[in-house]
Amino acid sequence: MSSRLCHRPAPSGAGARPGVVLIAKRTGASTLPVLTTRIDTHQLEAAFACGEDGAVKRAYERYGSLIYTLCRRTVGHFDAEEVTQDVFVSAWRSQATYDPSRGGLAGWLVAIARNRAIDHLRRQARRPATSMLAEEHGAIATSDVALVNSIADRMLLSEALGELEARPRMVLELAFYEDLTHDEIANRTNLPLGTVKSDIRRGVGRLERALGHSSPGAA
Amino acid sequence: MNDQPADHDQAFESLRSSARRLEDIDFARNEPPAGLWARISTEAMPVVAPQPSVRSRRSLWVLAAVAAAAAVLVGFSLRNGTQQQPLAAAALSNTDLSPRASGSSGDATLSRKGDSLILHIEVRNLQPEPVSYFELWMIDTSVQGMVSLGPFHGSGDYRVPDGIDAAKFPIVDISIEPADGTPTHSGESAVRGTLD
Repeated sequence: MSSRLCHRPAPSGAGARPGVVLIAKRTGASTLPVLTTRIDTHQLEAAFACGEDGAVKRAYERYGSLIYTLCRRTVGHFDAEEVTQDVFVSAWRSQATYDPSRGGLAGWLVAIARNRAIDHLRRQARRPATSMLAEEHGAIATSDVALVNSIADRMLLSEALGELEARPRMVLELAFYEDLTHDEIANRTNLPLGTVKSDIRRGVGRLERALGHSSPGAA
Repeated sequence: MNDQPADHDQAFESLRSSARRLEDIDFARNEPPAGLWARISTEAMPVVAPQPSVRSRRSLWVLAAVAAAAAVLVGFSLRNGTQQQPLAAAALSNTDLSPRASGSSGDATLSRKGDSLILHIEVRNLQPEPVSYFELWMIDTSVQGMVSLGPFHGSGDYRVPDGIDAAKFPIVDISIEPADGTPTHSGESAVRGTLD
């Protein structure tokens, strides 16, 4: 951590691969918008880890809604703002402990948020009954900690899927949700089989990295 | 998924089963309330100056200043009548200070009114923010010793605490203070100027 190289990563041109656009047009691609590019994420994470001016603000602009929504769903509407504030103040003060080699920034923030939410619920000594999930699923028998972790895991995975580039995301979604084989995905999308395989392999790697920081150790 | 290494298969299967449990609500996001970032940055703002030792030195300053004050007051009262007389003035500006108060400026005038020293402040474009307030200070030239004149409520007269030697604290400073109960200067100044 101490010997981390803090240089500004050059904005590589690799993000503007024209093939992505062409293929997306041909197949109709994913209906959910890709929120941002992977290169943006890399730059933000590097800037944050190096304590660059304005990096915490950029992290807030990028992940404020993720953290605030997570807080709303765990500690409830009324306390979400206070806990979100705690999370980002804490992130600001412990910025230097973020290590991009161990995982994504979203996961690091979510890890702080889940701890803060659990602390808050313990202080309040009440269940997260006001959270939408608890109401919807009637998850009354689940412990607070397990419920917070479950919500955090799911939201972080949804965030990570949203950060994949359009094509790997589409390919992964076909494999995840429609149970298609590599061959079937290649036929469906007109992509070469090798591209399908590498998209899945790299997509899985990126999702795993995105979830890396956030393991609660349980559940 | 048959020609991938086993650990990849395992990771894939684990992610697939997690992804299939996702519901629409997991993708939904609420925007945080407006103003939340301002509160975060206010609370987390690193304190640059003054040094932590200021508080402990302050009482010494007050003691020293009390001794000096009598002579100063005598001097002032000999020179001035009961009318309010300007003793010193300062232009207040935001130069090199908090960007949150960029564009703010003002004037400070130190006068004697009866037995008291009065700091008259005129400010321009000083915008209040929620969950923080302004505080008026007089600071020595080493930016080590300082005297609070209390919360700053806008242009007007502020009384210098009795016994304070204004000449020793010529820097007039209006700070942006988070409402966190910490009695020291936040380190973030909106405007500042030096009396002369």
